[in-house]
Amino acid sequence: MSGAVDLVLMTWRLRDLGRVRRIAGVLARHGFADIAARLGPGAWVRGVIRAVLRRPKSSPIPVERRLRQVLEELGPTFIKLGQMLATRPDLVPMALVDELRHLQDEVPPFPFDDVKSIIEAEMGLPMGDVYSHVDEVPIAAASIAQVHSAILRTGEPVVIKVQRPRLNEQITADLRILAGIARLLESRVPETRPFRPRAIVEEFTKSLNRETDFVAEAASMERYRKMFEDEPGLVVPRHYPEWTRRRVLTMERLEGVKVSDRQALVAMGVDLKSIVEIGMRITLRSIFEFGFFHADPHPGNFFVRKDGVIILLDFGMMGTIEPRRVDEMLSFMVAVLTGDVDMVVDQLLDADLIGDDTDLRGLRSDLRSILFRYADADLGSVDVAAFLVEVMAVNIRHHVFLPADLLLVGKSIATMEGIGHQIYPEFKPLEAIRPYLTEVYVRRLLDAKRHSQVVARSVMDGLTLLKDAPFDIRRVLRKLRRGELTIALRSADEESRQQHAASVVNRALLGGLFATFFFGAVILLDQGGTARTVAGWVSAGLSWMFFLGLSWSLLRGDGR
Amino acid sequence: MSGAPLQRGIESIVAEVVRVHLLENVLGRPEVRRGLSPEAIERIRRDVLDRLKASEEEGRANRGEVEEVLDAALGAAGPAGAMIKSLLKAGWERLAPRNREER
Repeated sequence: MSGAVDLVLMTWRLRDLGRVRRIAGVLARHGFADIAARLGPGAWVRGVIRAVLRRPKSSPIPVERRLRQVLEELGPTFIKLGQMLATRPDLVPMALVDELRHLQDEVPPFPFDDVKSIIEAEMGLPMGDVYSHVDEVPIAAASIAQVHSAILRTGEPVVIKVQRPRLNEQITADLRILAGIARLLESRVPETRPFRPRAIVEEFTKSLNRETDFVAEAASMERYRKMFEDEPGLVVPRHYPEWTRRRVLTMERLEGVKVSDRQALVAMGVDLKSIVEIGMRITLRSIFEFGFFHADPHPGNFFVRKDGVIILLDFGMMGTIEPRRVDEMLSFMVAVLTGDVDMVVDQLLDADLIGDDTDLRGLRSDLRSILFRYADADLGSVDVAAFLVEVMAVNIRHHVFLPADLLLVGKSIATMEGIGHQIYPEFKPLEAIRPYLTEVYVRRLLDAKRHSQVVARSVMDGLTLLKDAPFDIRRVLRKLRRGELTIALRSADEESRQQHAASVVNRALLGGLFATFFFGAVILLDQGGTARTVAGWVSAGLSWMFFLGLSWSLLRGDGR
Repeated sequence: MSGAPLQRGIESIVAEVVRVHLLENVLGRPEVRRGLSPEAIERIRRDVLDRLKASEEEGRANRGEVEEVLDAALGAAGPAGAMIKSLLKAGWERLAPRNREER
């Protein structure tokens, strides 16, 4: 196994040498040199970290904060990784989740010359042919992009979101390195396997690729805008498809103040209670009615217009939920919010989220104690975010693996609750959430149109099965009669056998390379002459390297 | 799926089953009673009932098409189809008497 991993890692080691060295340096500066040791003595990373080690391992700063600082220092990819992990209390400890929520996504702006050249490269036109004016000072600058005010040649005021220069190259290299680290962790640090580092990196890669594609973001923005066409309290900016590309997004300019700026909101004379209610309503509707929601709903993305209408921005990170999952989630949330412990556990069992080693009685008992405590409380005094965190913590303690989309939903609702409390402290979120969710739950259960679509699909599937059944049975019987029927049994330890086979192949490869270069060296050195002698020694060096690799693989005994 | 008429027929049948067998059951569930006020439950009952009745009426004329499609498909499936057809018929018979009373 180790041989396979080492060979795979060589690909990024050589290509991304500089970046890996920087990552290792940042880790070492923040006191994480010790993690290299966990990656095994063969890991190249250890050598790099040792080389750049400038600080003692122990640090008075808590490990969670140091981790956050590492991510911030390493730039966009790692900041985004941290933001994703902040939504996964099932994967990382709560203390780290809390710390990662404070990740700063504000970075110094990049020069206007870069803005201009990116726009021109993407549009294939001089900037002046598209915009009659672009403000040189950005409105905001973040790790992925920065935003400038502009005016189109046709006179419409717009804002342009321009991606950071060379972002794609950096992200691609970082993702390659992260994939390598994830593979290392899975092979060398077995206790990380339940957290599936490779799967996390894969999920993160998809999410980041979506976020850096502004054409996809524009499509999400348009979908969200259409979803809420009937909602007078919300406005989503229109984008200009003709002036939107992968790295440039042009959208209408809407004026408003940040929802977190309570003083400005009060000065505008808007109804704060109504803003909070609208915010919570659109959050819940987007999740439970449309299954398409804003997965990054921090206060910086919410603005309020003079007439009290909410402006929602930044549709780079969106969550999607299948209708069937919406049903499961609704049932789960209704069960939690109405204090029905048995229903909560049934939902978890139905969704196949409870591990084999879970003590069901203990889980019920712990859930009961939380749900009863909240059931007795006044609706207004319930902190929904804290409540959901407690429920999640109990689940995690009992090895119930909550799916990522449920956690994202929890994060969205909790963020909206936080915004609500910030601008209207009397806000009672549970008073809005509980009846809303229960009503949606009832309406979905009694929705004949939805049920009939399922019935129609099942009928058609069943009929197809019935129609094909006689032919399939006849085919199987014919094969049986001719003695051609084969039954493939899949062994539970097939994966470890595959790993073993990979290890054998790697050893054979190393052995072959060693033999080739060794005999090559002998022949070249035997023939004499300057060029042949030099080539002979190079060949001898290479054979020695492959010999060491082979010896190391045999000594470790991986894949036995 | 052979288009809207068949879908309307199925929806009409499903709406009737939901109205007769599910509506009160769902509204009477403990989690619903805990999560909604009696006024809200009454409002939802009226609204859902209206929708269900509308779906029933809208697709009543298309119910025959559902039967025709099932007959044709199950007939083509041979003995297994005939067996399933009789099972479906038995199931529908169990629901039908209450349907007629309600109507």
